[in-house]
Amino acid sequence: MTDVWVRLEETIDELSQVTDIKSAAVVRRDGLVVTHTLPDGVDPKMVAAMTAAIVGTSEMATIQLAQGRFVRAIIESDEGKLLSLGAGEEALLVALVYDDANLGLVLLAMERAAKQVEKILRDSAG
Amino acid sequence: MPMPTTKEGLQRLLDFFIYGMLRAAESLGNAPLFLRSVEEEGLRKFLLIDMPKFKASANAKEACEAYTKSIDEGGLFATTDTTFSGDEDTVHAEIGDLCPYRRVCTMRHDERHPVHCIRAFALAEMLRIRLDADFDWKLDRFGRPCRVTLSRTHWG
Repeated sequence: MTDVWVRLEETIDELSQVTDIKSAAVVRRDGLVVTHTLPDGVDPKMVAAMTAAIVGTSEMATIQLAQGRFVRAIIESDEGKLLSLGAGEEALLVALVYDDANLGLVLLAMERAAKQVEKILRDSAG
Repeated sequence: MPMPTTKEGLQRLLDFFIYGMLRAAESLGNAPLFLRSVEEEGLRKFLLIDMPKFKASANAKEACEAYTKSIDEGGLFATTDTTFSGDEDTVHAEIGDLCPYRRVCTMRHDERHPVHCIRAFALAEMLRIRLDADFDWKLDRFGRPCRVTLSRTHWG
């Protein structure tokens, strides 16, 4: 594995250590998985594709409704929440969090991780 | 099976679906995801069944050549004006007038929509499936010929 991938993995491992975050992943905007801490039984490829679709559709809806810049998508369900946001032009960050999670804390950690992912990719692109 | 009666009819049918698919992909907010998925699913279904002569090399340029040759031999469309240069990590493709998607790409270019190169999506997916490596692609030039560069991703 390359240095870029190792650094991305470290970032996602660190994010997954945050209280209230069950697991997380970095995915490409075209729906390919890069690295993740998703549990067994969850198909990372499917999560990557769904995240790309969710963010893409949300961004389009935001534009069509003239709501300014898309920030993040939050999907709430009985067992938890799925949060996804952009991490630069090429990547997305997605996290699965507990139902009663402290969203402020989680979002702070996600935004920090997203900036880190963006920097890693920008550095690697030269 | 009922088929369009002329080659022009078949081309128009292809134009109809490709144009509609591209517009639908854009309206859903993520055209690259949609088009990459279309190519992936199609290739996974048909690559082994309909292209038995296709033997991929670990070298990306050679794999692109072999895949393109098998497309031609399989009777899908003529590829004699498609050429490749490069090496195992980077492939430069030149695609000429015989490309069956050219009419739709020209239409979209004239309408000032982005040109999503179906051939590049297909090559990148083929490389990912056969070489187990992610390749990014870039349309360097839309014209006659079109120029596309596929390069091993910097993501690792």
